[in-house]
Amino acid sequence: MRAVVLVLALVALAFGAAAASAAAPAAASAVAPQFSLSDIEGELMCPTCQSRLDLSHSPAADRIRRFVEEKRRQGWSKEQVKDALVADFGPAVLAAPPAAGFGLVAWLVPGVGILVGVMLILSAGVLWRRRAQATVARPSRGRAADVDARIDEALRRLDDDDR
Amino acid sequence: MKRLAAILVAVALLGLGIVLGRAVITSSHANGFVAAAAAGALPAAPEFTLKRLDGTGVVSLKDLRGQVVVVNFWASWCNPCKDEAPILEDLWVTEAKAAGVALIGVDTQDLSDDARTFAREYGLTYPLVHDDGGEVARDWGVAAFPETFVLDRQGRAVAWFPGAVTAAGLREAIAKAKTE
Repeated sequence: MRAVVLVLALVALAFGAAAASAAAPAAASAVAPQFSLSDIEGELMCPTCQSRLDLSHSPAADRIRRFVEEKRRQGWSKEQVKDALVADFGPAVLAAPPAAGFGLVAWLVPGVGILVGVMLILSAGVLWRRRAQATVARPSRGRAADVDARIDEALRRLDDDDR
Repeated sequence: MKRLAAILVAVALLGLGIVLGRAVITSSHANGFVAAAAAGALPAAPEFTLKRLDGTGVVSLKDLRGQVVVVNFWASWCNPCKDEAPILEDLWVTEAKAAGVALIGVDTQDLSDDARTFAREYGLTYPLVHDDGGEVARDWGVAAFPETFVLDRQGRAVAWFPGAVTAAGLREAIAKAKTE
């Protein structure tokens, strides 16, 4: 009887250990951080000092850093952390403005600016080429006549000298 | 080609103008309020409606018209706020509440969970609201924490306290607000 109890206890122990070892990696993977602190620090702003979080050591910045670290260890994604911070601190806590609503303007203006710049340069190039071609193809009549007159004058002088 | 370029230039300039204009207006409005309050010009306080920290509804400044109102901006990570909290709570319990003076604590630039913990820790019983996104603090021109404003019955700022308040200073400002 004692042997049976001992065997049952050993079997239960073995099952328990197996279950624990199977659960452990699952639990570890459930809370495995998806990003590092330095990954997100540059994408966040200190709300009180208007500088990037990785450059700030104000009390508010330190608190945000601790919050990020806490949630990171709980397995939150970067986006979840950012959403939670935006809910309390507003979109100004993000280093890059959101690409929606008014924040969209900040994304569009540089793009449109670059496009306009490129178009202006191209337009200037096309105009310059057209002018250059026009000058080569159609020399000014007034200028040609002037040159002709000067050549005639020079030839006349040569003739006079020979005489 | 030329027309498209002109349209793009116009769009870019318009966008830039909106961004800059918005920043200038917001900044000058907020700074103007604090400067006027500091100079004793009795500026009208910007309105707000904010959610209570305990989740039991909202507090609207408009609804408090006719009462003297103390608006205290704070955050749980701010050390002077920790010194100030017992002073405000004591004033609320012993004098303000019975005298019909409203006291509102506006938690701003803070994690709301931290703010709730802070309120529990210091046993704060006066109405506390959370300034989601810090918009109200910006509208009021709050630059450091804590900052406190005392408003008269018409909603005009009678006094402004940058930094922690003292009970005596607050009592004096409340008395002044009652006479305006």
